Amino acid sequence: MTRVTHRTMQESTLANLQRNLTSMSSLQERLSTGKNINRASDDPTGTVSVLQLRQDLRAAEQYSRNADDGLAWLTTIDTALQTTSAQLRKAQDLTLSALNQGAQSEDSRAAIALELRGIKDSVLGLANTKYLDRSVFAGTTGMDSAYALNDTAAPSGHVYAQTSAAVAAPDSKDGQVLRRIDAATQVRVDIDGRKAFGDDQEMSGPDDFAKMSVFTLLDRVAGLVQTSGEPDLTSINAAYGALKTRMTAVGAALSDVGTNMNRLSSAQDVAEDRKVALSSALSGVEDTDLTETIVQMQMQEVAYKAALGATAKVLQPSLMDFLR
Amino acid sequence: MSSSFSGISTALSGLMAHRKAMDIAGNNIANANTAGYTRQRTDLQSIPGQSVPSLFSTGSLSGNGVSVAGVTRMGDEFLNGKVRSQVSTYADLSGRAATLVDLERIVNEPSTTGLSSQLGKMWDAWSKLVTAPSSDAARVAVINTSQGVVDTLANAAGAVNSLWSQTRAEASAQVDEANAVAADVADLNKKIKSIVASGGQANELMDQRDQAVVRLAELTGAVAEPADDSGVVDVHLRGGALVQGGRAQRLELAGSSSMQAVRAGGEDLHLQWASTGTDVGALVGGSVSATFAALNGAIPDEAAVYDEIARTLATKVNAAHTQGYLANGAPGGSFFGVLAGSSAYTATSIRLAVTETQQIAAAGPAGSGISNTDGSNADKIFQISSDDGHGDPSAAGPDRKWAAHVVDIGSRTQTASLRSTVTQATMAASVSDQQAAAGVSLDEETANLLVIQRAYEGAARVLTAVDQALDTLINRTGLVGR
Repeated sequence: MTRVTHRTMQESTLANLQRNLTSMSSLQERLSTGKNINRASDDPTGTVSVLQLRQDLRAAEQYSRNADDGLAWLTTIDTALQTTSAQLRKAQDLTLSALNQGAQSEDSRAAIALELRGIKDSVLGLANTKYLDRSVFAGTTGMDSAYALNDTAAPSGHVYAQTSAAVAAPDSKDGQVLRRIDAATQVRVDIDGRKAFGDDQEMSGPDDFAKMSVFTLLDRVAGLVQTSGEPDLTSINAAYGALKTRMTAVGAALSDVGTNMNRLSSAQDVAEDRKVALSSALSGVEDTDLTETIVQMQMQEVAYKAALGATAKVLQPSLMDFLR
Repeated sequence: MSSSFSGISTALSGLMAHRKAMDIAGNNIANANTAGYTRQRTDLQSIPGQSVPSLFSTGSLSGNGVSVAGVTRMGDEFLNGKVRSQVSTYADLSGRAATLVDLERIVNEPSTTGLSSQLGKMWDAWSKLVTAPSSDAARVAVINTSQGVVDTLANAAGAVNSLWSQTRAEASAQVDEANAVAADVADLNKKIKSIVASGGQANELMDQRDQAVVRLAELTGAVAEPADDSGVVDVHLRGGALVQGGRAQRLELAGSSSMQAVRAGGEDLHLQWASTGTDVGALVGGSVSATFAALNGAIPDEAAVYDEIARTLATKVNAAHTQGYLANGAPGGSFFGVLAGSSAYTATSIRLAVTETQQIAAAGPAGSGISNTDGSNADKIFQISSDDGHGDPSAAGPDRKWAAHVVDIGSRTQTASLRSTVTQATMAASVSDQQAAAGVSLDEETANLLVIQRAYEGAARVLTAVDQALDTLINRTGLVGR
């Protein structure tokens, strides 16, 4: 039988109290920090989950921000292209009425030409639309505007800001404005201005309607319509055809925009859902279950009080109390 | 036939023996709370009567009273040995756990200020630069958050380095203490030997000496064994005699004096005998052993991890950055550089090579026309954040390597703390066993005291009885009829 002395009793009691207090303090720490994992050794695998989940959460937030930004770009482009489309339709109507020779006097043709020039200015303005101080049709150039009128040096006409680098490699993403919506996917959030508005880079002459920017084309039509003599109907007709092609191009660009907008908004939904899922997973791993911890704390407190009570009783009596 | 007065001397022997027993019980009670005190017991022995048959021997005689044969220390040498071995194991394991806890504190994960969240902020900044390559604010954020990562790495590496220096100072203090304690043991051995040789009691000195031996075991993991019957204890360390009788051999701390030296392959920290300069050998148990494990392994390894993170970060980011282009179309340079005079990327030498916002190569394609507001290279750098090395952990990005390290140090700390807690319980059990044998029980001493007191009273009573008998004999005899 083990011999028990006051000293051994006192030491074991103190050790037990210490153990009780240690448990209390670890529960207290969990309650006061609100976290189950306060250092890596509390739960090594849980810690790695926490790090990974936090990283994923940051990425999801970033993807959601990217999608927001992309949607803003595409909305800006969409508005500009819708308006352009309406303006071009009007230009088509005007050209058509100019072709209607019998009904037009020289004055009315001059009025049509004026209106066409107005449309040209407005389309040029639309082509130079900006979002957050960046021309949305100018790709990744830092130019102030997507199109500038170059009448001093060759090539003359409306020169697109972007150089030919992007044209050289059709698969290349160079020059495109891209937004990452998940680890593997990037979505294009701009439209190459040349696709919607064309440019004058390869224009061979004033009547090379097919290789001419819409601005030059509108200028040219206005010039053809506003003439003192008989208007050159063949050319106007050809220009009308070119306007129709341009309309189709703008329509195609609009459908590109629509597709990408759909991709972005679904990506945004996914990112939002993922944020919620990740946050709750993170909370599940690292946050303290308050109810459980408080109950544990209460139990621990009862145990501690019992231990204190026992200590007070156990260390009091001695044979000396009973001897006279 | 015995003398008429022999009763008096018998009673006197009882009085003296019990006085002595009372003294010992009093000493036990006085030392009830003295650390390392071993309770003592008075061994009483009856004094036999004349028993050798001889010419004038007279029949059966009673004994001649009682004498104190000795005072026994109630300790158990085996239990003491068990305590020494447990104490040294616990000192070793708890020391190792303490180092890991310190390192884990430097790791500071999971938190909002640790390396992983600093890295996260940096990747966030790169990712924001993708959406706004022309924004100076986004570029400034990239530089500032990257500087944050560099600072965090440098702080952590500095903390690891100063932990090494502190631990080195601790090792030196431990060795000094071991030498002082060994000298104490030798000194006490000498005193005990001379007292025991002259027939005295050296119990209290033995208690002190045993305490010192336990401390020596706790420090170095040394083992002790009784040298001979004279109460002297020898202490051995890895086969060498640390204390032999009254002579102690000095220990010396040897090996590299800086963490850089240890990491460069310099001599590990170890103990050597001061007199011969020979290596003591790998220590088994004891806090010096834990300190050496920290100085030679755990702390330099931790520093290597920070350097590896810095190297990975710098090489991965630079590889991508030099492939990108500045806003003006010029090719990008290195994003991270090293402190002047350093050759490799380490946690302390890594610096930002890029200081101006326009030096950040955010653009992917070459050429001034399309690179002004392109952010595709920034995106490529952002991708490093989720680089898992395609299944090869050694090729992974800094975040994955860091996460792997966090789980590693976390589980090592957890295991070490658990082992230390378990050993602590075992140690507590053996200390309690030892205390059970050697500790003073007040109840027991009080009961003993009671018995001794009664015996003393009894002896006094016997004295009175003999006295009265003699009074009758001397003063009352021959007075009949007077």
